[in-house]
Amino acid sequence: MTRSSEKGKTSESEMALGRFSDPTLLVLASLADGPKHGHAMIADIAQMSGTRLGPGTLYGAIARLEEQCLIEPLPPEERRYPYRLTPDGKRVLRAKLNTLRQFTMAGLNKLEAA
Amino acid sequence: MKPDLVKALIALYPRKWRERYGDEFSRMLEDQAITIRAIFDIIVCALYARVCLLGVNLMKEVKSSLTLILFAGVATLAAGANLFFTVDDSPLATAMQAHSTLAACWLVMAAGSVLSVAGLAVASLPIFWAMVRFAWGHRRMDIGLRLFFAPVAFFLALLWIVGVVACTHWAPLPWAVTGDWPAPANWPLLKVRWELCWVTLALLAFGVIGSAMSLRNAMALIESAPRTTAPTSFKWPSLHRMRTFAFVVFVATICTMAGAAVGGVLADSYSPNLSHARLGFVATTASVSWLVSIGLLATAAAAALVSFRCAGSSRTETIQ
Repeated sequence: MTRSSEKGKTSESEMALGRFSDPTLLVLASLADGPKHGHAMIADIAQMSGTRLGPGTLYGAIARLEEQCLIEPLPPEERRYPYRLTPDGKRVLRAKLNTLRQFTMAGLNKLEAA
Repeated sequence: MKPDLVKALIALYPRKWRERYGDEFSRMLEDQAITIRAIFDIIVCALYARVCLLGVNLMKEVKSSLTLILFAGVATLAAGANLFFTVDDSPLATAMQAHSTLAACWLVMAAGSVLSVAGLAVASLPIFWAMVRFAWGHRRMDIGLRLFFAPVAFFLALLWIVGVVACTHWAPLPWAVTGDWPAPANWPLLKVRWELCWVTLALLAFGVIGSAMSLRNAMALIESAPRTTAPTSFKWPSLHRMRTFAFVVFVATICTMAGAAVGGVLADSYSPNLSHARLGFVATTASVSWLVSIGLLATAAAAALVSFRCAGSSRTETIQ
């Protein structure tokens, strides 16, 4: 079972970007400035986006991201497991945010031109 | 949240999930305030996690999505066959000719079933053919035998039915044993009919269960095959294709189910006596037979929907 090439791997990740639901993107963005545990992520995401993730939704997103090796756990602190972005996670988050920026710019340009 | 409530909520998650995240999740919940929204969120996510962990990594791979589509297809076929044989040559068929709305429902059911079977065939046959080519290219008799179990099993079942028809002028099907209709004089005795019918059912059950196990084993053998000197590569279908097939099967199954549900209600209102007549599967009433079909179709639709949703977490893999 092999991935054919590095190029193939990239395109797969890019394909995966399209199916990111908001919670996974919010978690990735929350971890962009450093490791956080679940409770801190909920607070950070609420402050950053105004969206307060439910605990089940948060851990569903964490499980999916960890399975895709985009985040990884750090040693626990009082039963709290902080998570951090992996290099793949940083790359995927950057690509996704760039896409969103291009989309936002294009939308705003169209609004101004109208 | 109170520890007891936290414990109860975490118990809703599958064991594997609890082992990995249970401790940290409970730690986080202990710090949370109790809200209806949080509890509802946990319940929904726990149920979703259970669905996603059914079987062995059920939703992780494209092949699992395909397995669900196959399951949906088999359930739809069983439901369609049950509806067809319940109506065929019965007063329900006459009622259908008299009421255009009932006939329209039947057409919707037929169209939905055909679309569902077509979606299933388009989704599975190329993969089956690729698996056969892989087995042939690698000279893997063990994989080949498993792949041919399904066609051989169903050919044998068909041969059995044809053989019984040739010998007794009666098809050993569970809709034709007995019911509220006169049995022709040249048919075998009722006791013999029941025995022959159970043999047919046993053969079909053996075929379905054996085929599912054989295909699953064949998939596992292909995955574990050595890849260095392989003359033939095997590629699972793309994520997009699987999602499309699952969606088609889902829509088709919903159409069939809607046609069956509306048709059943209309048939009951047009001829209430027919609903209680023993026209269905193993001498059940028409209404019971109809409900069984609707249940099968609902199961098929759920399987196709889960396949569609969860194909999003699949990956395209190449085995060489």
